[in-house]
Amino acid sequence: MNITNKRGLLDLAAAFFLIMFFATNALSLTSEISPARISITSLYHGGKLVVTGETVPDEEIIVKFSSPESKFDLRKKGKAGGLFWMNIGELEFNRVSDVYLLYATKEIGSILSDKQQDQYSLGYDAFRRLVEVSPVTSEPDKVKWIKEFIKFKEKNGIYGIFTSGIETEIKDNKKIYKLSIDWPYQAPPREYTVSVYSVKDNAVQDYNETPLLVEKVGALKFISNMAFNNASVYGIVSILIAIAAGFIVSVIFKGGGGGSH
Amino acid sequence: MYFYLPIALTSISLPLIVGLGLLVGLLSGLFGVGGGFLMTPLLIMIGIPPTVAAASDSLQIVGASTTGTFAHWRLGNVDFKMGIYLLIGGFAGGLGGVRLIEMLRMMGNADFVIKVTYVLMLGIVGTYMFFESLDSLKKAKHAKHATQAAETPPAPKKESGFVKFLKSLPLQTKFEKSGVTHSALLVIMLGGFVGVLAAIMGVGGGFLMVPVMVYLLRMPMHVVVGTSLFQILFTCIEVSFLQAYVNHTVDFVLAVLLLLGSTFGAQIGTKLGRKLHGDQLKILLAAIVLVVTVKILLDLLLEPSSLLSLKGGH
Repeated sequence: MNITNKRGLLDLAAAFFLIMFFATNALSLTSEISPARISITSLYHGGKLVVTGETVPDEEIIVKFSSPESKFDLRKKGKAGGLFWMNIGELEFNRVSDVYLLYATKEIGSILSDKQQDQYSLGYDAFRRLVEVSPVTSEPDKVKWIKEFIKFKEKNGIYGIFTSGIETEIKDNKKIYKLSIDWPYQAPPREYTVSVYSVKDNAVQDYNETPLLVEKVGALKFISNMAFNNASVYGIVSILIAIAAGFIVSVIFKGGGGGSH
Repeated sequence: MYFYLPIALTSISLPLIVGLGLLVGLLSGLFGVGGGFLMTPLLIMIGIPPTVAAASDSLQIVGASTTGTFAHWRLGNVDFKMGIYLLIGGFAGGLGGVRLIEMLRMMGNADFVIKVTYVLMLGIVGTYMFFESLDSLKKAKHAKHATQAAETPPAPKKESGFVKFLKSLPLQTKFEKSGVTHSALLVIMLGGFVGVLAAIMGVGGGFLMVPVMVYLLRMPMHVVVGTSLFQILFTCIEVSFLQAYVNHTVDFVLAVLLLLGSTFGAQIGTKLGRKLHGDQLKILLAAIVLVVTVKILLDLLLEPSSLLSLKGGH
């Protein structure tokens, strides 16, 4: 065996070990969402959601709940005539998620580089860098409105970044994690993505995504389907029921001794 | 106990929403106002999207004003003839008002005009009603003393030039239930005027229609309340249907929950109203209108907690 062949074998072995190393890491992160589907019934007021899984011991965990990025139109308030606070126009926010809840074992900025934050849309700093706002007059103006957007969403309970909530323990040389959250009732019915990231050395080592379906069921689904697909019947039936309710109460009160002419 | 609203896409506390309905229904039965100027901002405050709040409130008013109109009709307090004339004007005025808003939006200053009109109208109507009814209450007190001292009836008032002008208008019609005679044209025009303002402000217009009936049409307060409710019923049926058909913003569950409170509230209000003097009713309504005016003024002057809001609503 000559030197070239030896070098070739060594390269092959190194490549094999590298592949094995990353494959081991790639397989190390697991995640499971329970339940995978949240049903909205008439008495719905949010739900309980548990994300569990395991990774290698020295990695941090980030769990993100988000909806597909889209466009958002909101009214902006400002001073009109230098005196009155009122709506002075509209703003269009592009590349934003309707719901954005992020849980991490450590502060995002301390465990991930800016580049990685941007690549995976993790944290408000990345959010500020990635979101497009129009019309804005300057960079500070853009920053101001993005800050207001986050505040507006956080007030509604559908945006938030938390460094508490994920419980971890080391078992059999694995890091077991568990996140239990109260899924906000303000999050509208749709398909969400639950993304779990394992992080080490300022970079995402592995991630996986699981869909989470939040949907209306039963009478609630029937009513909203009717409101959108059969609007005229929905309008007429609603009005008739409102009038009937008014009459029924009138009759009840008449029985209770209503007035006379 | 919470209920999920299928169109508003949020969950709401049952006691809170029924309580809110009860309160606004009470005001509706007492004063003959739909209560939209109170209910819609309250609904937005508790997290209902503005467009859904305004549309569902109009459906709720259909139920509350049905029971209110029915209760007042049994008491003989509805002037159907006057109500229909005002309705004709109101529909025409509403259409005109919507066009006006479209024009203002194109010019880009609609919100400013709406807010200023709202504050001015509420402020003027509230202040005038408050002092006028305070004055009447004082006069009534004095008159009582005077009658006790000398049993002489007060001298009849001299007709003003304005009243003479009103009487000279064509199509003079007698409105038996209200005991007044007015030109049908005047009634339709006043209905139209309120319709324009109501469309601009995005409210039913009850709080404007009531003073118009009391001060310009000189109708007795109790007939005013019943007639106003009758007129509001039809306006809100039209609005509810259009909102459901065009905008898909009527939340049936929200309206039904509000109705649970408001229909009972309207009945209680009607009964309570019978125990109060017309001037007492007016002064109470004036006080509520003034409180709402102050609240809107403060909202305009103080920096809001959030500089962004959803589109729609008043």
